[in-house]
Amino acid sequence: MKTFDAIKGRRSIRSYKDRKIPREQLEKIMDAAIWSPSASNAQAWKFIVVEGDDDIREIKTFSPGIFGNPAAIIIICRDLKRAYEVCGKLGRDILSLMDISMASQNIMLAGHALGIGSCAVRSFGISAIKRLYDMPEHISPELLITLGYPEKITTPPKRRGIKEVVRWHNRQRSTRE
Amino acid sequence: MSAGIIDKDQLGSSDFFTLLAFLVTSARNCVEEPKLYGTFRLVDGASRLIEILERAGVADEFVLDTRKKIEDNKYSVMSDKDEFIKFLDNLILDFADKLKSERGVKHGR
Repeated sequence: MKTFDAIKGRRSIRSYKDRKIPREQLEKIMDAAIWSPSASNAQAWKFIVVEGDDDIREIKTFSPGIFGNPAAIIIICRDLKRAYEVCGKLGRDILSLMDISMASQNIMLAGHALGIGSCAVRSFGISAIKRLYDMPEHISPELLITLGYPEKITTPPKRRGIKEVVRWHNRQRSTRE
Repeated sequence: MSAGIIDKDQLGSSDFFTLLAFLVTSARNCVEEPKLYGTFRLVDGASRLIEILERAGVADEFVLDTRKKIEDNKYSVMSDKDEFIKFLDNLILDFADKLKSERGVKHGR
């Protein structure tokens, strides 16, 4: 799949088929995650790939934002200790969030390229997930990404146009024109 | 969960526990989430409750139809706010109509 097709074709999936994702496919997706850029190459992230039905059910219990029955859920976490060690306060408070966001997009695009749908979910009980997975204080779960084979693909919502959101700036060009 | 019965030793795996966890987690998250998401959680919670009633074998045609309407329309909260509100307005009218239609039955008319 071509990059632009993946970017435009990805949808947020909220209805999945009852079909597991082969481990090698999940490994490919996670490989895409770790190849995303990060500030000062801090790579201050941790990913928990949850595949078991009982484990998925537990996460869903504390996740009002998860719909359908995903085949896997990735818990995207920031490693605040590592982020601070490499990039200081800025890294811990802001850059690490940007980094896991870019990794998350890689995960969703890689999944889409493999025919696997996804949905990014922030509506979950952060404290509950931390407790369920015995996470140390410096590991902060920020996002869940559900994965599975799409049962239903929705039509894309309207995009704000390029004219509305992009400002072109080139002083030389405007002088010539 | 077996139909409508909660085993006290197995509360954690019951539908009611799941619904309660959904409610308390939603309550916490609504502190920061967009205002309309609170509305969304309430109507989604209604759908989840009907699902439990269905599994327990006590859901009638009206509530099953209500659940279908919720499932068909709830995501409009993310794409069309006006459509979402209209859907909720219509849902309330369904309940009012249901109550009215049972007036005669209740009073034996």
